[in-house]
Amino acid sequence: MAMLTLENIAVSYDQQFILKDFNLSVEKGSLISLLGPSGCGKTTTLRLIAGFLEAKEGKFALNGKDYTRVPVNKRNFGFVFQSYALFPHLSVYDNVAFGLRLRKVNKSDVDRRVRRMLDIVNLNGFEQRYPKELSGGQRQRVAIARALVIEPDLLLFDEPLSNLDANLRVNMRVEIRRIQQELGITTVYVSHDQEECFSISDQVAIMNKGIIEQLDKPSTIFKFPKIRIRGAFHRLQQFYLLR
Amino acid sequence: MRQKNRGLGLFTFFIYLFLLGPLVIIAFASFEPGSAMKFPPQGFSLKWYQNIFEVSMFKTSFITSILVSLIGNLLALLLGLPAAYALSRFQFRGKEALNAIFISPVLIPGIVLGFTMLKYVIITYNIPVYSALLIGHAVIMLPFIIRVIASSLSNFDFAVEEASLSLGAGRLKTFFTVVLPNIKSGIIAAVLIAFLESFNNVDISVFMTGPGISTFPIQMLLYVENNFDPTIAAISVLLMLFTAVLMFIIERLMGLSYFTKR
Ligand SMILES: Nc1ncnc2c1ncn2[C@@H]1O[C@H](COP(=O)(O)OP(=O)(O)OP(=O)(O)O)[C@@H](O)[C@H]1O
Ligand SMILES: [Mg+2]
Repeated sequence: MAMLTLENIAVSYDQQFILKDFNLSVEKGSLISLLGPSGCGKTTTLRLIAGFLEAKEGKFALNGKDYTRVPVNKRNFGFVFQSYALFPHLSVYDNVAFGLRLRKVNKSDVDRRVRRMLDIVNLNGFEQRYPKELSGGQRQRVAIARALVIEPDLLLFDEPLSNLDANLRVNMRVEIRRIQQELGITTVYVSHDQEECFSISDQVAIMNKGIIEQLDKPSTIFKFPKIRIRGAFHRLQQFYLLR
Repeated sequence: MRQKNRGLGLFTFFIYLFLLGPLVIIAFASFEPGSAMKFPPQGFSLKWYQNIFEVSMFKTSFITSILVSLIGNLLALLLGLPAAYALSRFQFRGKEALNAIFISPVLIPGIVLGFTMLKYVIITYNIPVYSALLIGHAVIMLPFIIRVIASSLSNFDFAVEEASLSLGAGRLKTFFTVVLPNIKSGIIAAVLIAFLESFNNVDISVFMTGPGISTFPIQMLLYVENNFDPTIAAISVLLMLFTAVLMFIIERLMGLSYFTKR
């Protein structure tokens, strides 16, 4: 059952169309990643889904509900930013509690849910720290906890690992995948790192110049790639097939 | 190399001497017991400090100046905060022009600005003296408010604002709970800098003041025209201390880089 659907979406900046007749459907509880070269419209797609951008045409629905005209703050989606975008003036605890307090959740429930979420992202004992007192990976996990604690209907990631070093990137993506599967939350993940996309996704959408060239399971894309195979992709494919 | 450094040191020394020398002389002269300023002073007395509080026009004009600076500051802040936010946050047509208009009061000579405002605004609309002073001072404070707050906003990552929206806060709520707390020190610094600018202003104020209503710096000028005693030196020392305290607070909040950057 498709749960997230984009139908004939068009987005333009000024006069130029970035997305046109864009279609996408994602199954409930799965993680789909958008992969493609810089400037192909990945962030645009994600920001449209999040509600930061408005579609000129088309329809976006989730679980059968039309979200096309719903403002960002009424959507209940979790967004994890490339720069993490933690609130600098709030402690880790208050960062994570922010969304719950807006939802008028009572104090003891806020406390229980924040602590549980910090448990999930392995940040017990960091409650009173401020974002500037954390490492990149820790900030990243606070950002994930903050987006997850509101029990979002959809989770959106925009290159969440690109500011981390190589080792941490691998650890974090495993962790993201684990949390996503544990909570069974539908997720759209943007990256231009092929390895990253293929290793954590149920499905990968290969984008180019505002259109999806191929949308399939990683293994299918490796076996039957519709796109021209470039060097790096080729090596990765060999590696995958040999396994 | 060594030689060069020594030359530079000497140069710096003279710069400081020229900058600080007069202030030191004034400070010493303010303790002169006689009725004419002398350096070095012929004794030690605080009587001219006492005299400040006995000249009634100092007292009334001081209150006027404080009120005008504070209320004008509030007006400038109400206008300048949203302006600085919009100029930093959004791209829109005419943004550069708007920026230039907001900054122009610092670029135009005060005498010109004061005279123009008097002739085309104050007289045309027959604005009473107090309101005229307020308007004039709000206008000269506005650029400082906008510049300092905008410079504080330039360190603010607007993705943080989007994070707040995505977590369910509306635009207004986001502004007050997320943006404001993060530029708080910038706002305080802006208010203090603008206050100094307004409190010390003479060139605009002379056009806006009227019968019986005057500002403190203008009264100081009038006083030295007729009196040669060290009262003015005593006032200067108090104002220097006052300014030093404000500058110290600004330094703590934002660093003084704001002054060297432009
Ligand atoms: N605010 C904007 N105004 C005008 N054009 C924009 C704006 N934001 C993005 N674009 C353009 O839209 C296109 C798609 O941008 P987008 O950010 O979606 O790319 P991306 O796939 O996320 O790239 P990257 O991998 O570099 O992040 C680009 O050509 C970009 O120049
Ligand atoms: Mg992008």
